[in-house]
Parts: sequence; C-alpha cells; structure tokens
Amino acid sequence: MDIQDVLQQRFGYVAFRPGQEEVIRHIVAGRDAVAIFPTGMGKSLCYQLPAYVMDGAVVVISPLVALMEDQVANLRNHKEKRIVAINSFLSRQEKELALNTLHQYKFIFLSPEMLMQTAVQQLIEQLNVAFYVVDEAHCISEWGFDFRPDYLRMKEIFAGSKRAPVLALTATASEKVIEDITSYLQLNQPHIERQPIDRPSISYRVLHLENQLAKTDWIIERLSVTIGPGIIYVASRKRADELAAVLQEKGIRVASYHGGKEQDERSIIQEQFVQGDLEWICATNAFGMGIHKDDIRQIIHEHLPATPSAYVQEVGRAGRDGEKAAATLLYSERDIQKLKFIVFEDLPDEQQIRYYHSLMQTGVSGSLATEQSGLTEVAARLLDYYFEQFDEENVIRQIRQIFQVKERQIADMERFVRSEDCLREKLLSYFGEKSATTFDCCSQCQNIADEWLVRTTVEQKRSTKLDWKERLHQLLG
Amino acid sequence: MVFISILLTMFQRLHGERSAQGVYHILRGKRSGQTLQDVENYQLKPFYSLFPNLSTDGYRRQIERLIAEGLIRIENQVVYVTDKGRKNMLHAPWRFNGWEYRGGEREFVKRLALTVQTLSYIRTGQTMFAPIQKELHIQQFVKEFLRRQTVSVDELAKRVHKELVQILSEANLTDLQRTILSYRLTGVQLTAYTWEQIAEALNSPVTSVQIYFLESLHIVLDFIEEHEDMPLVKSLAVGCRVENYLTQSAERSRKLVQQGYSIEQIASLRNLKLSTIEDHMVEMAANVKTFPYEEFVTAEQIQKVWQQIDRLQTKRLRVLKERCAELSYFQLRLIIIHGKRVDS
Repeated sequence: MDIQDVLQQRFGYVAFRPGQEEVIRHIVAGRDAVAIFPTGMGKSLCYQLPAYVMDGAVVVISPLVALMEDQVANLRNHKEKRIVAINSFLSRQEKELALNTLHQYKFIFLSPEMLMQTAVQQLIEQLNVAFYVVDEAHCISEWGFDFRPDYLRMKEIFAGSKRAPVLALTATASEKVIEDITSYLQLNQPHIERQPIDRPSISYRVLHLENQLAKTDWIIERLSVTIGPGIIYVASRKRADELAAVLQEKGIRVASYHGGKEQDERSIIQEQFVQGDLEWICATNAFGMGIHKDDIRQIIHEHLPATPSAYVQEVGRAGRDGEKAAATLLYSERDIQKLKFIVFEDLPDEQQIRYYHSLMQTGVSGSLATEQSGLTEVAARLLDYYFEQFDEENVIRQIRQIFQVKERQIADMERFVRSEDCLREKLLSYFGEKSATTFDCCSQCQNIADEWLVRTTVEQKRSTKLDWKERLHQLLG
Repeated sequence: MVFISILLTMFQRLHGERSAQGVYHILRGKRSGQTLQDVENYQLKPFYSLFPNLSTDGYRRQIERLIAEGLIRIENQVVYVTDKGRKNMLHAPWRFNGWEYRGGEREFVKRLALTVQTLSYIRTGQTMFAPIQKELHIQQFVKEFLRRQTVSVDELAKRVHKELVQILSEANLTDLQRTILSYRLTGVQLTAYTWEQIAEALNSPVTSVQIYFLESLHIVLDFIEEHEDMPLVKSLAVGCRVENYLTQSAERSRKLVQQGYSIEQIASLRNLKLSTIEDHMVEMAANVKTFPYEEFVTAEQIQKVWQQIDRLQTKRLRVLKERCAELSYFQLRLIIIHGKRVDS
C-alpha cells in the first residue's frame, strides 16, 4: 500500500505535516534517519506509519516508562493490538510471557535496560526487524539536557553492518547532539529532518524579581487576574507542594505534581488537569511528557531550567491548539547559583573520580564505593560506563568536558534571562534558527498584547458536599 | 494523629517487650522469623504489612514525636506506653487485616477503579478514554473480567452499582470511609479526588484519610469474603488474599518435613544452618493448622512454660529460658505459638 493511503485509512489524516513524509520515505527506503520535531508536531507518525508498509517488527527504545505507555495507548487508539511494552515494571512472569511471544508483535517497546540484556538481544536477533526507533535520542548525548548513561550502551547494539535501519527521534537537538546521535548509534549517513522549533503563537516574558517571596506574590497576583490552564515549573518536589498549598489557600484550583507522588495520584492529577477540574499544576520537570492537552495558555517558570532545550520543550507544551499562549520566566539573582548546585551535584570532581576508582579496584561493592566517595547514583553510573572503556586520566578528561558543556548551557540560560534584545531571537539562536515574529513577541520587544489573557469570569468555588450514594449513581447510573 | 494511634496500639500489645524497630518491621511486612513470631505472639497480625513503603526516616520522626509528647518512653531499647499514651489511644478498635492481604487490597481497588471507569465511559457510548490505571496487568485483568460478562454494558453497570451500594451500606464502614472510597473512583466527567482534595473536603489530615481508606479496603474485602451474593465485585477480589503464608524458603522446608525428614536432615540437605530451619518450623507453627508440635515438645513442657508466662506476665524468651533451662529457645518459641491450651 502507498504511504498516502495508509495515512488516510489507518490514521485518518488527509495530508502529512511538514517533514513527516521525508522521514518516512527514507525509512521505507532502508536509510537511517534523524527526525528533530518539536513536541506535538507529529513525531510519532514517522515510525508508526512505515510499520504498515514494511515487513517485520518495529523495535522502539524509549527511556521513560510514562512515554512508553503513552505511545502504546496512542497506537491502541489507532486499532493496533500487536503491541508489547517490556520494561522493569513488568513482573517476571509478565516479562517471560512477553518475551516468549515476541514474534507476534508489530511494535515492540523496550526500555534501554531491557535492550541491554543478552537474552533479550538474542530474541530480537531472531526476529525480522523492519527498523529500530530510538525515542528521545538526545538522551544519548552528554551534550543534551537529559543525558542518560544507560543510553550510551546502545552503541554496541547498532554496530553490525547488515542491521535494519535506525530512526532517531528527538524534540530538540543542537548540531553537537546530532553528531553524537549519529556516531553513538552508528548511523550510516542518516537523513536529517529538522522542523523549526519556533512557535509564533507563544510570547515570551522574563521578569526580574528580588527573591522567592516576590515570585510567590507575583504568581498569586498573576493567577488571580489571568486565565489558565497553565503549568508552573519549580525547582524541587518540596517547592511544588509548598507553592500549590499557598495557591490552594487563595482558592485556585491547583495541585502539585512530581515524581515523589504515587502513580495513582499522578494519574488522577493528570486527568483532572486534562478535564479542566484543575486549572493549574505546580510541577517539577517530571510533568509534561505524555500529557495531551491542547489548550494550555500559560507556562510559568519559577526557577531557571538547566538548558535552552529543556526550556523550549517545557514552554512548547503551551498553545498546541495554535491559539495564543504566554511563557513567563521569573528570575532572581541567586537562581544561577542554585541551578549550578543542582546540575553539578551529579557530576563528580577529579578527586571523587580517583577515589571511586581506587575503591572499585580494591573490590568494594558499587553502592559502598558510591556512598564513600560522596557520589550521587547518576554520577556513579556515569563513571561506571566510562571506566569500562577509558583509563582514569581519560575519564577525568571526559567528565571535565561534560562539565564545560553544562557550564556553557547554564551561561546560555543566563544570557537569555539577561538579554536586552529580543528573547525569542536569543533562544532560537542557540538552535541556529532565526525569528520571523514581528508582533506579540516578547517582553524585550515590548510588543505583547495581553488582552486575551485577562480573566473575565469569577472562579466558582467547587461544592464540597460529598455524598457517596450520589457519587456511585453518577458513575454507574 | 491516626498513624500515632496505630503505633500506640501496637506498642501497647507488645507491652514493653520489643524495641521500636520491631514495630517498624511489622508495618513494613518483613518476612523474617522474628517479625513473623512477633505478630503471632502479640496479636499484631492485623497490622502486618500495612505500610510496605514506610521509610526509616519517616518512622523515626514519628517515634521522636511520640517521645516528645510523652506518649511513650524507651528504656534499654524497649518501648513502653505511658499513662498519657494510653489515654491517647481513644480511637475505636482498628479493623485492619494486614496479615491476609499484604498489599493485595491495593490490587483490588485498582481493578475496581478501572472497572468502574470503563463501565462509566462505555455505557455513555465513549469507547476512547485514558485509563486511570496504567499498569498492564491491571488493564489485562479488567479486560478479561469484562470479556467474561454476558450481559449488556448497561446491565453490568447496574449490577456493579447495586453490589457496591450493598457492600458500602452493609459492611461495617464509617460514613467517612464510604465517602473516601467512592471519591477515589473515576468516571465520565468525574475524576477521582486526590488525597489532598478529599482531606480538604472532609477537613481531616491527608495521612488519616489514607489510613482510613486502607482500613476500609480490608473491611470491604473481609465482607466480600463472607458473602456470596455479590459475584461481580467478588471476582474483582480474586487472588487479593494471601494464599500461602509461608516464605518461599520455609515452604521448601515444609515439603521436606512432609516427606518425613528431620530438621537436622533438612539443614544438611539444603545446606542451611540448623537455626534457619528452626525459624522455618516456627513460621510453619504460626501458619499451618496441623503443625506436629508433639515431635518437638511434650504436653508437660507446654503446661510448664505457660504457667511461667502467666505468672511472670511476659513472653520474653530470655526470662523464660532462665526458668526453664532444660528447654531450647526453639522449643520455647514453639510453645509460645502453641498457646496455653493442651488437648489430649
């Protein structure tokens, strides 16, 4: 079947969105490809569709369980039942069942850890694989904002010369990250498809405030006079809870969301936000991936994100419906220091590296060595990976490089918040793009028209009378 | 406050014979000989495995708070409930049944939540929705459950509704618990409340709401277990009760006992210490109704030890060992589990 027919019959779209067709044609032709599509611009279709014109299974490697589930749900909505997701959340029996029946599936989702297991690799080798997909491929690069040492191990997997094509997907990636993706995943002259990340419907604001107290006051005032739905990104779980509590007191329909909450609770909060029961979410960067809500009108950052990519991705969750959306970053002097502390906490210094290495050589257990050299879990995994292939001096050199990259990214963010010129221009410059926006641009251009943001309705307080019989009746008739 | 009341109840039952750590292990559901014996000896089975995720830090803070408020005191590691503490245990008796469920209750309520959500959507003609339960095995269970039904969706929703009303009305729940349970369910246009939202609406702390919820699940599951006229909800509860109370290792030892091996033989067969096999025997004694006590202790020995227990008002092994030097610690442990009554 022609890809155009599949697009209509299976997915119900009349036309491709920009860039999709190019990527799909290359994959179908057996070429490797890298697709850089901003969030919400139809990245998933790039691998979903070719699956139906090619023989064999599509193996998707996805770093986050939440993302994996989201992709699975999405395919199910398109009436695809031949899907399996294998990750560490499965019980041993479930995993065995899935692995034993692997050949039945069209889409096989794997976490990086699963892919690294020899048994799993052997099973995959026996399959007829149409092509591989590496989702969130920027995680493979220490230049990316989401570096995952697990991902680096995939290097070995794609080494063979006769392997199926690989499609690397990511929402944002600088040139350097694309180089890393290409070399680590051993891509063979990949087709690179990049869609612009600029979103003209989003206007940018940076506000300099004295301290956190001033930020809190600003947010309270802002939420009382402007509309949601919106997300407030904060630096920590604790702060998310704190701020949500303050806002609740003011009668705002808000909840906090972060990785420390139990899964049921997170599902409920997501659902309430999507349904509109909650107008605001105070979240850490754990919130966002896999949320399908097109009408988010505001994104407020109470803290400074670590990289321009992270910022662009978080802001990009607003205004998916194409209507106007407002991004506001609240900045105070000490934020840079705080950010450096958080970012460099996971990066070992020279002394720690040497000490950790000496401990490991004397046969001390990994967890003990981690603790004794004062490393975080992430830092230890990073070192483990590097020590497998480099000697001590080169590991130190590698880590120093990462340090420099992160420092540069933070400097980029600092230049962004201190910019006296167009904010959009500045942000896009980090990705080699230029701005074409001439109105409703940013607080530096001073051409923002905010009338649409003004709240005109008064918040109705939700009735608090709870009646269990009535509730059951409403649920089940 | 509610959590503190649970701790006080437990420390009271242990009346000055165990450290704070012992209670921590019980709440976390540790499967070690000592913990399993403690729950047996001090009637603490209902509290077993109530909070599998309880953190050391969180627990320590609660203990510090109990001490600071003068509700307990600790001497030589052992916890005593003070008079003030006893006055603070005003709560009506807890009706947990942790021993039987050990987390299975959460499985049940997840299935229930997804079933109700699915029925709520499908009966209004909406076949597409974001499932409130993301875990694959829950989704598969509910799918299988729904596939087995032969009546229409409307009828099925009606029947589940009827069963739920019956359970909530007749099981011995408080009104608060009925409310919490029903508001943790999701449907069309009605998303479940978060813990905070329920807490606010009921004007009660979040942890209390969560604990009452947990207790209500045990009460509901016990109720379902005892009644036959609620087939639908009953089949959602399948497998949520513990079927085999023994640890895997103890289970292996049990099979060898059945085949007639002595404990010394089992120890050498399994290449384990004798004391480990003795732990297994104690675990079996606590959980298997037909444990062959007579192979290890005599009726006279049982009587003698229980006289001491009654006289000294303690089950502490060290104290009992001083009075009954001829018995091993293993025998003493068995006798405590055996209980006072001597048949035959």
